[in-house]
Amino acid sequence: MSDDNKRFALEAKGLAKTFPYGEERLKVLVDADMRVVAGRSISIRGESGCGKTTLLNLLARLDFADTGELYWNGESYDPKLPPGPRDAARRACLIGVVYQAYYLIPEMNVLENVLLAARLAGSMGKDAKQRARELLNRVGVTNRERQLPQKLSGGERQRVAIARALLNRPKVILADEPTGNLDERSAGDVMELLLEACREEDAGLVLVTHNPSFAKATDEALNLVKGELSPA
Amino acid sequence: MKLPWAFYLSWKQLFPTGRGVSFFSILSVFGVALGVNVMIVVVAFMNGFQDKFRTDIIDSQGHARAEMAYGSSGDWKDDMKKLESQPKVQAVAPYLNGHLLLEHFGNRSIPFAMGVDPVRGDTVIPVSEFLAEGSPKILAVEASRITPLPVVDDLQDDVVFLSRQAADKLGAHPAAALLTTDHNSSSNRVGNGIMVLRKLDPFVESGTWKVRFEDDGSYRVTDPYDEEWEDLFFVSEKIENLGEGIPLFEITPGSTPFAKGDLFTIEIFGASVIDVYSPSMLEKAKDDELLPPRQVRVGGIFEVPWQGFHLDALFGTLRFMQEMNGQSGVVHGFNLKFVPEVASDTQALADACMNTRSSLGENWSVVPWFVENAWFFDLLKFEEYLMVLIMVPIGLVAAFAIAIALMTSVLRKTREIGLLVAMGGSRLSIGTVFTMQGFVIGLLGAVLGWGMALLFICYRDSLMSFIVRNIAGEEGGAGVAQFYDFYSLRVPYPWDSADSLQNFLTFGAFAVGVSTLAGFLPAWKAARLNPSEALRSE
Repeated sequence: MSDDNKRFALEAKGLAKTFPYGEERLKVLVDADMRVVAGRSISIRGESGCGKTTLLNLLARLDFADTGELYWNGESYDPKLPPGPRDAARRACLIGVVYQAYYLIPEMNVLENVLLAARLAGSMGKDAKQRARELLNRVGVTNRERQLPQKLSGGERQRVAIARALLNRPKVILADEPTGNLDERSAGDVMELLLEACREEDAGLVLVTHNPSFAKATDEALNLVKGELSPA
Repeated sequence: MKLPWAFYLSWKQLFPTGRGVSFFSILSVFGVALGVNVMIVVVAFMNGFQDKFRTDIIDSQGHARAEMAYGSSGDWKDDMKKLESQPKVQAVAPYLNGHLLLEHFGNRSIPFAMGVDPVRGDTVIPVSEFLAEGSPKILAVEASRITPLPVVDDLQDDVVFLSRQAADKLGAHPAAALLTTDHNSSSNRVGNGIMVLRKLDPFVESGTWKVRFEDDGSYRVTDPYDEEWEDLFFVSEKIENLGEGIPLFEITPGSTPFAKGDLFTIEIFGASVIDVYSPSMLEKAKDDELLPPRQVRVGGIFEVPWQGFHLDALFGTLRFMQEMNGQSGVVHGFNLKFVPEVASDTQALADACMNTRSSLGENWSVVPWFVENAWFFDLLKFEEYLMVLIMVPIGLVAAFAIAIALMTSVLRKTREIGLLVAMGGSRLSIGTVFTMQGFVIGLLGAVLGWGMALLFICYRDSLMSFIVRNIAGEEGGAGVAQFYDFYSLRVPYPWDSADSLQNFLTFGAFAVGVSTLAGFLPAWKAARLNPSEALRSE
């Protein structure tokens, strides 16, 4: 492992991914490089179906690549191999995820949903509870911790999802269109919160968005066109 | 101890925050519980029936029967001594069986007759426990039946006990008594003390006995044979025996004392006298030697609880049967009772029977009760296994329901499963979430099923009463009246019997196992989901 790798919360080199398409293979990602520094944000824009979510899945090791290299906090992972138990355990500690559809567990209240991240990472305890409450306070969902997700607005649910993603002090947050289901005002608030929180928590942010103004607000803006990443 | 997140999540999916318990959980747990309950109750009741039959059979024939292979035993007293000297033999009772022809006012019956030793016999076969109330049906206004139950001592050479069915066929009955009181014969119109008839001798004659009080503590009695009042008796006095054929009264003072003139009238109905013919009489008739029938009195009615016992039956003394068979000093065999530690263990009993047979000689066979009745218990056991085989699908149906519900849950929660993987959940843990749900449902279902089974066992008599009355009506319909015997069915609780405990544990474990297996398929499907595809699913 080089010293360069250690400097990045997440680094991908030459990631490529194809999908079968009839008798041929469809190139979704071609030689994608990305370096995510702690506390800084990167946005990725592109047309629907251009491979943005696939890129996030490869970065999170939820899918495997055809070629390339991948480092999480300087630790090397072979992105060509299907993810194993080690990946799952490290993912719980190093990567936070935020999705457009929130994915809060309906059988748990707000606090339990946030704490689920600590349970998955095996770090459940008093400290985790305290931090969950602080984060809920930080994202503006104070006094709603006993509520079920169904009782919250879309914006509130996404704030809870952000708090959940931040609970384990991840090195990187991967956010896949986190404002896609929100109205303009809520979307702005949530985006502002996400950027601020990542800075404060010293977590790198990879944001997939269609919104140009949100992309502009990040430290680095990338476009994904025909499978290739390029500066916006 | 930290609860693994998969356990926590599976618990939350079954018992969500805010709702307490999900509809799926309630239905699944009840489904499993019903299955467990039915299986336990069926087997417990079947075991109860077997236990009852076992007790009834042992009561009606002892733990084993020792018989000579080729005929009767002439030296039976020596043989009995040999048997009694066996260390594991507790009691020995000789018997002599045969068939007799009974006649009573033109009614005939050919019962299976057993000659027993009234004293020894009761230690092996509790004839005294079989004796039942047998008063004739007499309509009487303001009269009460005060016939005492007969006792085994009543069995004498000229007195026999008849089974209820044989007595009904013959229209015969033992001695009976009715009590009437005269309310107008004294100033206080009869004290409220109690008069009981302690003993009614089988040789008592029909007639009216009267008891008249002289004051609150003394009375005089007059018998049917002369109108003279006998000597003075005292209430406080215990009268033991006044002679053959004289009823023994016992009077207990009540809160209102007796007074001069208080009068009780006791109507005595003498025991039926039946004519008995034996095969040996027929043999003698062939030689033109016509013998008159032997006349015996009916000393009591008996009911043997074992349904396989002869319905038309007679108990007489050993000597009576020997005389009727023309086989003086002969017995057919011995009913044996072994010490409890041997009797409770079939293998030990079989071994003891073998040893006993060795001590008697080659011509003897000593057959334990479970060998003699093997056909019956094999049948019951087969029925039990068959019932369980029929019941097992009930448990499987519950398991299928669980599997279908969990599979639906996996489909409904596909994106949540993808998220859990994205948050760091391993495939094994994802699978565990659904397997655990099956396990927890099985466990709770088993516990609830145990509770329901305990309630069934606790209230089995009420349950049987309800079933019998609703099937057969108050009087018990044809073929159903016998179920009244099972009101007192002995169905042990798991803490009282190792078999019952094993029964509970087996079916509980079956429910947990099957429910857990039901969770495996959905768990396998969930664990195999591709997280990136799961997160995209609609």
